Amino acid sequence: MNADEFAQLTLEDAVAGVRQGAFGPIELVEASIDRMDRFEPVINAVITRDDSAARRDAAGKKDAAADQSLFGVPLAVKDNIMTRGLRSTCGSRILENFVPPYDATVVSKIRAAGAVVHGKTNMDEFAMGATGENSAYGATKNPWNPARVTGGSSSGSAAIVAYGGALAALASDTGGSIRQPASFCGLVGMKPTYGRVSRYGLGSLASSLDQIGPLTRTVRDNALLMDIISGHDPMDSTSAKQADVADACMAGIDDGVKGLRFGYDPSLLDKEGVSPVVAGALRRAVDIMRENGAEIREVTIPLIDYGVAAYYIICSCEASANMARYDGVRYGKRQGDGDVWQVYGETRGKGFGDEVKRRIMMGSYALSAGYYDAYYLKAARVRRLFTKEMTALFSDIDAIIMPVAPTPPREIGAETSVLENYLGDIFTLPANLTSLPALSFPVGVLGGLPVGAQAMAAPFRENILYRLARVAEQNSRLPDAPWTKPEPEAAK
Amino acid sequence: MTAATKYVTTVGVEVHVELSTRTKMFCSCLNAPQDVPPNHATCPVCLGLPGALPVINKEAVRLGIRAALALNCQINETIWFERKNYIYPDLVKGYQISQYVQPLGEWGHVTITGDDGNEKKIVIRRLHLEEDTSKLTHVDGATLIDVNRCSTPLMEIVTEPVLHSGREAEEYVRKLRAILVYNGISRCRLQRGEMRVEANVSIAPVGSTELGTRTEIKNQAGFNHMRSAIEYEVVRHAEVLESGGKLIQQTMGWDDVNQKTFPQRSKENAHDYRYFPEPDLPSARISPEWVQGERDTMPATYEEYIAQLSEKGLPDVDIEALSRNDALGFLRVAVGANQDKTVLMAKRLVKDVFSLVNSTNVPLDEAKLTPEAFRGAVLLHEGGKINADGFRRVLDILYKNGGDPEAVAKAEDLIIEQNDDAVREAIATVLVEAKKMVDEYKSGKVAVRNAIFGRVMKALNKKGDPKAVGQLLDEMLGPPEA
Repeated sequence: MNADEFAQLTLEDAVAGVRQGAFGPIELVEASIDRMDRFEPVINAVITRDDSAARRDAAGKKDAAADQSLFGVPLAVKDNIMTRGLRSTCGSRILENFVPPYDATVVSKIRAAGAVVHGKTNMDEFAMGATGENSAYGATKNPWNPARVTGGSSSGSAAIVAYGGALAALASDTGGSIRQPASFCGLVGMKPTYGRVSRYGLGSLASSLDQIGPLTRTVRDNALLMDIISGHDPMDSTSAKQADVADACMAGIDDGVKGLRFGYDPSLLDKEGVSPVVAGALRRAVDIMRENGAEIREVTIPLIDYGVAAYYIICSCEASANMARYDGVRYGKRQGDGDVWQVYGETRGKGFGDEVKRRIMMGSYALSAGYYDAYYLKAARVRRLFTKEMTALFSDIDAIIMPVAPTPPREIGAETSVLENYLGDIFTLPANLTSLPALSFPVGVLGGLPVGAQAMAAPFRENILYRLARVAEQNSRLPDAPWTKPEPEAAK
Repeated sequence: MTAATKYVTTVGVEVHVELSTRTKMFCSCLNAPQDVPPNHATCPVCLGLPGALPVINKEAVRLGIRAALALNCQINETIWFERKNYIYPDLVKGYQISQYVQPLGEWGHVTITGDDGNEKKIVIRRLHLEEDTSKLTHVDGATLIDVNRCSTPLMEIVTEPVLHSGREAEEYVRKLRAILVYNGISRCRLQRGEMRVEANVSIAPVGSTELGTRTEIKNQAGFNHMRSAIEYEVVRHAEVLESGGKLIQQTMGWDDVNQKTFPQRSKENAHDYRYFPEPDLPSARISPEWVQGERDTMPATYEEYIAQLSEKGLPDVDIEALSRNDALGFLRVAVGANQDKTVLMAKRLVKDVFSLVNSTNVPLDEAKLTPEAFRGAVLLHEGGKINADGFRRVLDILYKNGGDPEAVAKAEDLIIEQNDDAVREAIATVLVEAKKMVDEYKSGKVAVRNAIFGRVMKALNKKGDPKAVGQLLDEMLGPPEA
């Protein structure tokens, strides 16, 4: 098997191939290394990789245990997910020398399932950003068109799967960080129900919004990985007991959508700034569902206009506290040589990028005496109401279909305002605010760039989302995908 | 009118207590900060590494509930934690997980004798759980950080401002400490920082409905220091006011050498802690069933226990000694189910253990002797398995090194020789060896009998049961030929 064949393998095919002896773990790792060597100079999806460790790991894999459903396959992991002995920077200068002494629970799980962790992927610093440009290690380029952003914050996880350097990747989603780059890179990306996947070992951005999920090229691959990383974890107090008893993500995945009821809010497409490309993709997704026997009902998503404000207050408040541990005292890159306050100032002043500083300031302000009620408390109330009303929608529909991002990926380095960037999350952050599962899946390719749609369901009903996306997958085409090509496109 | 009669003193006290749990507040590291080398009781959670998450230690909550019950608090059915945000090198996460809006317990009280000689209920405004910080040691211009203490369980107990003198404040904290130690909630060893006290002091003209400007006296080494500092502040406040000056709200330290307070930190730049609910910890329900279960297994209250000891006939002087040495809880645990041995054990504790406290200079709460081991030693002696000398020897070893009483007694060869044949053999040998003494005895010099007895006991390595040995000796010696 050569690197180009590897790039087009699904995760399922790779697992089956290893089991049947068609190829071995070492061949897969070598192919992924070859693929990375070719694409990384252009794409910059990976911050840290340890090829020799991956080779050693693969070489040690001789016999698969029956339940090792990822035996011998290389997977990439977002750099804010802790990997023991493998540098984890969270995309930040402040952690440029940080090598964790422990594995995140999801990493332990995929390792236990037999996977080889290979490649810590690029990201917006501490997952703050939606383009991948806020990384201390440089922007990741979109493998479909390297002049464009990949989306973010899981820029590297999306790009490496899109160019075929990894069979799948783990990433995190706080307001769309898995789903939006999935849409921009022609991939399937899941933001699971809050509490379904353990956050232990995920460098926190906003603890009440963060979830880890998979980025894959196929729907079935995504469900396969989800079923491995899901489950209650006693190390994460917010992880749900229900995660152990909910329907498996693979359950009924090929059953189609006949008889399912999907909600659709056409007014979303009339919102300012929603591109015709995105609107077209959404209508196409709705049509596919209808043609395949689903019942489509018009619904109104309440309170969506308040989502962005509530989200950015809560996210910034939690982030301002979560960033406080990065002080250069016990770990991370310490700067300055004066007293402790001078060291704090230098370490944090030089170690953090602008977006991180902006959110620390916004969050500290919103939590400060005299402003707490007007900002944090009000946002928390909006969130509660939003959750109540969103959840109520699912009493008579199975899922809601909505856009992912309002626009296709923009050009790298384009001038945009902070507000514009934040408004780009309007369709993805509701799932985080309300704890609901949401899946982004490809619908087609327009102008050489992929575009996706999103579906959201009731808590722990991820399997409905996979059924829906599987139908979309079978009815969509993604011509000229980068994983089918031997070399990256040149930047235009 | 003197300053003393012109002003009313008001004092509120905040106490921090380290809970006696096996593990830390939010991780499974050992809660034994001073028993392992620095930075050895640590993990990703208490080091505040990226991605690590807290998990509430249920045992800490249980001890909190028991403390709240012992202090007559109402217990909230739903509790949650907040993040208290501030940045300092002893705080690994840049925030302390604490309780702010809804503490575990509220509106309790401790009864003391007020300055007017009457019983006085000191109202406890709140009792909440939180995590401790790391320990900083400043040496040669550098600061060393020991994370062992970081995230160990801490309980904060705050009174209403209802104390009116340094004496009342001192009696309150002594009583509070006694109750917490007695109930096994904390060992409250001041020298280890397991109990830390802060007092807020203000004075106001008699009849005023408003409190005066207060100063805060931080972390005193001892309760008497706290009292001295309060009394000093009261005088200083009055002097400032009498001279037409204005007090400023600030934190004071106590200079014990010069017996005066000194300003530590001005409150002008008061911290804004930006509290908000800790998103990593969902709120927890303290069910009435849980609380009732704890209530049902609480021992008699501290006051009731003292009354019980008195009823059982323990002299007041012994009760006083037990109380002064914080040994009532030790006694209660040691007695366990052996209620009929209460007085006996109390007396042994006062006589034999407290003499070890004096001879070793190690206080009871720092000793290796556990209540269970003490009970074992007493029962060995009572059961006739070791004699009085053996008992003291076993106790001495347990006090210094710890261990199992029976194993210690065996290792030291202190188990009484109960084999009559062996005793007879020892006696027979002595009677032959000490023929001269035996002859003297026979000839009527009966006082020699004690010397012979001593020889026999020595031959038995002092582990003979004196009574049994004496009987056998008399039997074999026969009567003197008067």
